[in-house]
Amino acid sequence: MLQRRSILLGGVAATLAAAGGRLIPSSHASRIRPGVSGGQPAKKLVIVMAQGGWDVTFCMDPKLGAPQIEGPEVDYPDDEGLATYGGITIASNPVVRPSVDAFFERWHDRLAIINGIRVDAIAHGVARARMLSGSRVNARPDVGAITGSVLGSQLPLGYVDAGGSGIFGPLAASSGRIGYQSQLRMLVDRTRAYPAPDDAGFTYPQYLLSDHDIDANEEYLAARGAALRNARGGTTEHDVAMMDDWDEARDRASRLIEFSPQFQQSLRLGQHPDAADLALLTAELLAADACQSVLLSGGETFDTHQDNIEQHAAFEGLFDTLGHLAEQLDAAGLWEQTVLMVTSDFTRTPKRNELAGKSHWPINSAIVMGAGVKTGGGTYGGTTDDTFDARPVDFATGKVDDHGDVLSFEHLGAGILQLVGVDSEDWMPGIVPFDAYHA
Amino acid sequence: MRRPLSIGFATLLALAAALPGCGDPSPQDAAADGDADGGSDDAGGEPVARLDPAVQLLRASMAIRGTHPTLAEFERVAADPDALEALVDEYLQSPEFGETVKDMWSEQLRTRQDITKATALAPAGPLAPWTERFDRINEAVADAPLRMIERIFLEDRPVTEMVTSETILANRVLAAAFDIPWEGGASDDEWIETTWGDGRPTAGLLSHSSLWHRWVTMDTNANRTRANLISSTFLCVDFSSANVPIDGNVDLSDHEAIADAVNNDPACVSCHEPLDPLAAHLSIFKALYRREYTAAFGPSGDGEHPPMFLPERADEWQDTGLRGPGYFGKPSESLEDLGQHIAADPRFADCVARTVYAYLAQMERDAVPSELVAEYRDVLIEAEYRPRALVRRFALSDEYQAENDEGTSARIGLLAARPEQYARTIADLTGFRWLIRHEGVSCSAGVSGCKAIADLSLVDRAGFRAMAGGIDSALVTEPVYSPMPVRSLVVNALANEAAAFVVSRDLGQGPGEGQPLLDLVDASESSEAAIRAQLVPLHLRLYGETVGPGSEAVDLSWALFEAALREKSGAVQEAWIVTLSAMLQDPHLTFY
Repeated sequence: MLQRRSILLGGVAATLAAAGGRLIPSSHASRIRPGVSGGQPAKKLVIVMAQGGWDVTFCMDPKLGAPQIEGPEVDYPDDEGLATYGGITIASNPVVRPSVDAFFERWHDRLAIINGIRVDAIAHGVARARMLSGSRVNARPDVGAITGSVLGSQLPLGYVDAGGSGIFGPLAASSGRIGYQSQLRMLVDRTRAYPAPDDAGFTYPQYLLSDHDIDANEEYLAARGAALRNARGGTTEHDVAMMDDWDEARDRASRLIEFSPQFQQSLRLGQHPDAADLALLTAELLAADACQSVLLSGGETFDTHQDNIEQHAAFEGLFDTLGHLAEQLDAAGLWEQTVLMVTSDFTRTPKRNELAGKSHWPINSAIVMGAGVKTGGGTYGGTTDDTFDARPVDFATGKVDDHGDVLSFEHLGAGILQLVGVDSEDWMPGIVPFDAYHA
Repeated sequence: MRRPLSIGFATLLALAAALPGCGDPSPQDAAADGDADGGSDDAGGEPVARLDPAVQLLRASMAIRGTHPTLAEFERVAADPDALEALVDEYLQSPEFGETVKDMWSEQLRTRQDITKATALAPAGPLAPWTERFDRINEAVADAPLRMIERIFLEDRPVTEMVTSETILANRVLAAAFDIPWEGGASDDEWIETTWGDGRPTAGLLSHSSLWHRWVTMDTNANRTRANLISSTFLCVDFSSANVPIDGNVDLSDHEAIADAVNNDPACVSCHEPLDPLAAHLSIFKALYRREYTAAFGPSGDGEHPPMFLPERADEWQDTGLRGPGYFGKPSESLEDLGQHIAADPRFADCVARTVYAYLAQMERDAVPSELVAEYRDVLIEAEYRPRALVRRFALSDEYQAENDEGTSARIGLLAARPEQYARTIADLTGFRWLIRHEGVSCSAGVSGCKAIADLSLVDRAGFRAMAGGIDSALVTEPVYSPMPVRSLVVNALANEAAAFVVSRDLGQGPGEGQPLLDLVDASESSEAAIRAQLVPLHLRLYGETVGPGSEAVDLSWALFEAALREKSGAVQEAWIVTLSAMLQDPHLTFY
């Protein structure tokens, strides 16, 4: 099935040559200017998105003792406290959020917390897109898609979205989603299928093509693609790009099938993957060089307009997922070449409403971990204890400095690109990367 | 160090005016020629070279219907290229055009959402008859607003009815879900015109329970998300993308402090002054959650519908100290007033034109050039807001049908079939729909005897809509217009299944109805002459290619068939499955 890469290699090779040795789709080259640099060796990227807007006072940005900010101590005044792991201090409650402490205890030495990131938005979709893409422009590809496209050009997929909220933009030809119920499994392993309706009169798959059939079909499609390119696809930049993307997409699809035995065990068709599945899948994908970047999302919902107490369970679930993920990456020996970024849409208001919930607040935090991050653990940036606003930061040290500048999602995104080895100037021109936490 | 910008009210209004689709609202300023006929040139110069008539017909059909022309339609255009316009007019009255319209507006209203179950109504109480086919509940609720727009386009009624209509369309499922007066028959497929029956103000979609069921609001949100949906959908003014500054002096746990800030704090006023008066119209519609709906009927199922329309909440804004109903500085007393304001707002016509053009040309609404917005807006106004003229204009336009860039300033090149279009095309060609028994979701919820059905091309929880480039209306809200690896896999899998299905139907004893795709051969026919004779109409039907049996294109498909026949030891049906599997993935079909 879609296994004849050789058919496509002519076009790809030509593009490779034109790109000066790097495998860059010409369609992209004509629209954007990808670059591999950033002063860092190329790395893999894993993004974990806490969907719905986390309350960062529950962990990364503790405000115990700040009278104008209601944190987790409202729910469990006797159990909340601060815990310090290396250079990091977090809000701690080992009774109801034990996985949070366990995670920092185990991994603090290789991670950084970045607080006081301005999002400038309180709508979920807009804020999520800004945090993921580092851009205010609608539908701009996120940092996972950029990383996948630039650094994963020779892999089956550049970017795998296992969380559902990845933004591909014009980099769709190198990106793909696994589906809410791991539907990708059915596409890479045609022996797996949902049941047909009772009255269909057949079962799926109705017919399985042989390898010979698949090869023959691919030859046909390649020839027909060339014919269409000659007839209609060769006159404008748009049409050339569409046909280039079509070639690239088919080539990547065939390679994805070839690689799929190395990761498909954690794709259980019809089931939403749990934390363990996601961790295993991510490690398998990266270890197999099936992709360069992965986006994950746990099953927790952080959107606690009512009952902010639910943040405890959400944080516990999130860090349970992160714990599984970190261990799997470790077991696969991937930490030396992998960056993990954990973030959310935004944080939540300083105080609770009459429903004991919290609304959206346009400030945020992120955890960045892994290769290229200063060791020892550190917290960068900060927020005020009264208004819960971002405090200015000295970009060189990452420490709060009244003479510094306010950190935004744009700086964070540019810094992540630099960290994984992508020249952020190509994608976010004029934006200063926040790199104080880079080794 | 570049700093994020906060914007003031004046800036916001200027931004709104400058946003594509929210641009110069003055129709009289537009320079459009109003010519809806094809074949003209853009600037009064030399005529634009247009694509082959068969390809023009195929593109028109895909834009309007999302399916390919029939052989008879191709033959009409071959005999008389001027028949294109008449065929376009026929397409604009077809049920498939209605499907296109629903897909188009689904991207704005985003009611087709099956990822999260929180807003899916459970088969409780009056919905109990759909326990086994609970998929029909979600389908009816999600599609009801879209069906109203579908009717407006299909019957060429003024698009202002979207925000002014006094009636709705309902089938018996929707009627049961929301306690709507129903005098139709027993079929779930029968949609009739009715009214809400609960005394609510009538303002088309603005009054629609399905919409406010999908777009729930928390008390602290005070209907602002809903108001932004209205503003974004009908005026192309999206407040959610405005930058939100921090004002740390506001106690956000205190309603009065919030009200004071949004009314008086300059940083807040900039957005809230126009937004909150829109939102104030909507407090009469409460949120409705799945668990609440289920609880209302109890285990016995004989409870009462939880009301969504609460007229007593009309003045809730007074209690919370927020702004009262209004429309961008103008008085507005009711939801009907709001609908009238929108219908009369020049931005509405701009926005409809922008939405239609962007969908058909596969671009973001913001990316539509302002001169095209003006041109299409004037077409709409010229047609007294009857929307078919917009689609007709597009389908016949030089920019859509030009062979090359010469003479056109905004040629629309190759477009990749959207997941919905590809599914419709495959269903039309082969009779195959990618239906599954949806037990992964329904039966795990404890429903016995589950028979829920899902079309894998059109759902997200179990299927491939967003994975293949569509939207899931929850997390994925922007379609992907270019080829993607997973889309290639989806096309491959669907083409394989459709090929097996149609060969079984046409050459075997398999199930299925409809016009045969393979109508010149039978299961024993394998001679080259006969196969080539069959391939000729296939190339026309599938690709709009007018080719002979000895053409290069048919040589390719014949070679594929011949090799498969050899590989399958002469099994004709299997050879056709292999051949059609490839032909249904052909870029001449997946692009248009």
